[in-house]
Amino acid sequence: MSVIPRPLRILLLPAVLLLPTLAPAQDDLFSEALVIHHQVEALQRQNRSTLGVYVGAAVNDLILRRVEVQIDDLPVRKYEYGSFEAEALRRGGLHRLLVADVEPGAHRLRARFFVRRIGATPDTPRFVLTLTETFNKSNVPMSLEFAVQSGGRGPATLRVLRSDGRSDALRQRVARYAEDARVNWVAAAEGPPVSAIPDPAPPSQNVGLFNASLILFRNGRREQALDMLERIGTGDDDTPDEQLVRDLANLTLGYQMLRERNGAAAKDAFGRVRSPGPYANPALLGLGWAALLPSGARARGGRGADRLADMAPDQADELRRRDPLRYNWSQGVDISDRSLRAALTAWNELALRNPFDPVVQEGMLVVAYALQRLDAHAQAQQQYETTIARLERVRTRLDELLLELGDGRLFERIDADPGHGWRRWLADFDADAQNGYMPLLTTDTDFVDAIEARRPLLFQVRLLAQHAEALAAMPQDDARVRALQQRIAELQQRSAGPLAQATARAGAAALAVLQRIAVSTDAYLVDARFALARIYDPPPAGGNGAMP
Amino acid sequence: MRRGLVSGLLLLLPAIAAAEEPEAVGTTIVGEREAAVGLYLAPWQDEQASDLDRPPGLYDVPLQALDARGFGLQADYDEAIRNYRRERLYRSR
Repeated sequence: MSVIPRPLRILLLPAVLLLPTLAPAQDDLFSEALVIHHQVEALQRQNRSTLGVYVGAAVNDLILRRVEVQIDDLPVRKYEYGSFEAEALRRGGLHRLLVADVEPGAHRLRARFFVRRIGATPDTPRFVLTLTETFNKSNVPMSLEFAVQSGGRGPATLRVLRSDGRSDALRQRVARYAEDARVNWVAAAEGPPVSAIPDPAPPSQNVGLFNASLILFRNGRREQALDMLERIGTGDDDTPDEQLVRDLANLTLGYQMLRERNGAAAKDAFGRVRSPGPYANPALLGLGWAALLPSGARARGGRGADRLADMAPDQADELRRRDPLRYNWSQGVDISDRSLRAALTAWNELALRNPFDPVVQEGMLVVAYALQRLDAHAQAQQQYETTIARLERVRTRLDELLLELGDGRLFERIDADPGHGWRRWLADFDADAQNGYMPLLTTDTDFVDAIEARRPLLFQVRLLAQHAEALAAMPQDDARVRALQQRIAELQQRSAGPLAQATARAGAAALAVLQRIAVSTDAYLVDARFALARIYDPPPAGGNGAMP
Repeated sequence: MRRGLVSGLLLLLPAIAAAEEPEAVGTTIVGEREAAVGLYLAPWQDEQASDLDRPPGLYDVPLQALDARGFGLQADYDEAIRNYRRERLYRSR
C-alpha cells in the first residue's frame, strides 16, 4: 500500500514525469570495441607468458584497504580500494590487479595487504598480511588469485590460488566486482553482456514527494507543502539518496520557516541537516539567521509575532529604516547583542569553510557585518581584510582553472590514474585551498551527468589504445593481427569525435559552475572592499567619529 | 482679415514657447532679493533607507524539482566523498 495520500497521487504525477529517461541503449561503437576486445584477448591467450593477478576478499568482518604486489624485481603494483570497491570485494567480486608478461619458470611473489576490521575506530591498528613465495609459471597463460580469509577470532590469512588461463568463473567474478563498484563499462568488457552505463537505481519515493511539495507551493497549498517537507525531513531511512533528499527537505523547510519568522522551527529543521554535506553550508547560514528570530511563545504566532504587524505604519517604516538587517530574514525584529552572538556561533563556523562556496563567501561577510553591529569595529575590519584576501586567492585560482579547462589540463587531472579507487568519484579532490571548486562540481547535476556519460567512451578509447599496443608486440606477419590493427585504427578514428563531444559537454557544465563561482566571488569582493572603504572613510568634520 | 490672423498667431507664440520649455525639476524657491528671509525647510516624507550599510546578499534555497537519476548520482558521489574523508581519519591506513 502506498504511503502517499490519495489526493497527492494526482499531484505527484507531474513530479514523476519530471524524472529523466533511462540511460540510453549501449552505443554501437562500444559494442564494436567489445567485439575487438574479445578477439584480441583470444589472440593473447596464445601468448604463453601472460600472467594475470587477481585480488579477492570475500570476508564479512574485514575490509581490504590497500595492496602492494611485486613479481620478481618488477615495479611494485600498489592500489588503494575506494569504499564501493572494497564493498564489491566483500560481496565476492574479484579485482584484476595486473596483467604481466612472465616467462615460464620459477618466480618470486611478494605481497602486503592492509586490512581493517569492520567498525574499527580511527585509533584501531590495521592488520598487514604479508606473503612471500615462489611459483612456477607453466607454458600456458596463468592466473594467480590472492584470497584474504577471515581467521575468526584468530588472525586473518592470505592465500594464493593458482589456475590456468582465465576461466568463465573468474571472468564472472571480475564482472560482478566491476558492476558493484559502479564501473559497468569494465563489467561489460568481461561479459556476460551488461549495459555500459549503470542502470539508475529505482528513484527514491521521497524524491517524488519532494517534487510534489514544490508543486504544492506553486499551487498555493503552502501548509500541505510544509507538512510534506516535514514528513520527508523527519524520516529515518538510511540509504544515501534518502539521507540526501532528507537534508534538502530540511534545508527547504528551514528557509520557509525563516520566511514565517519562526526561529525555533527553522532551527529544528536546519539542525537535522548533516554536516559535512552538500547542504550543510546553507543550513549553517540559515541557522545564524534563525538565532536572530524570536522563538518560543512569540514564534508560535508565525507572522503575528512580527513586531511590524503590531505597529502603526509610520512606526514600522521607522523601524525598517533603523534596522541594520532590514533586507534579511530578521527584518523588523529587535536584534539583541545576545542573539547576534548566537548567530555568530554558526556564522563563524561557516566562514572558515571552503571559500569557493558562494554560501561561505556570504558567511564571511555576514560575520564582519554582525561584528560591526556589535561595535567590535577592529574585529570587523580584520574580518573584512581577511575576507578580501581569501576571495582574491579564490579569484586567482578561478582564473587558473578557467585556463586549465580551456587547454584540457583539468580533464587530464580528472582522467589520471592515481592508483586508487577514489578518483572514480573525484573524492580525492577534497576541499582545500587549491581544490575547493571540486565539491561544487560534484554537486552539480549537469556536470555529474556529463562526466558519467563520458566515462564509457573514455574507457573504450583507452581499451583500444591498450590493444593497439599489445598487437604491435605480436608477430606482424600474422594476417589476424594486421586485420585487427586496421579495425582498431578505424574504430579509434570514429571514437574520437564522440569522446570530444562528451568532453565538450562536461567542459561546458564545469565552465557554467566556475563562472557562477566567479560572479559570486566578484560580487562579494566588491561588497567587502566597499565596507572596508567605509571603515577607512574619515568621519565628517564635527562628527563624533562613530561608525556609520 | 489678414491682420486679425497675424495677431492671433502672435498671441499663440508665448503659449507655444511655454510648451517647449522643459519642466523644472525639483523645488524652485522664489524670494525678493532685497528682503532678508529665513527659510525653514521641513521634509514632507521620510527619507529613503540608505543602501550604504547594506548587509550581505541573501541566499535562498532554489525551489527546483529534482531529477531522479541526477540526484541518485549525486548521492553516490556524496557517499564516496564522505567515506573518503572518514578513511583519512584513520591513523594507520
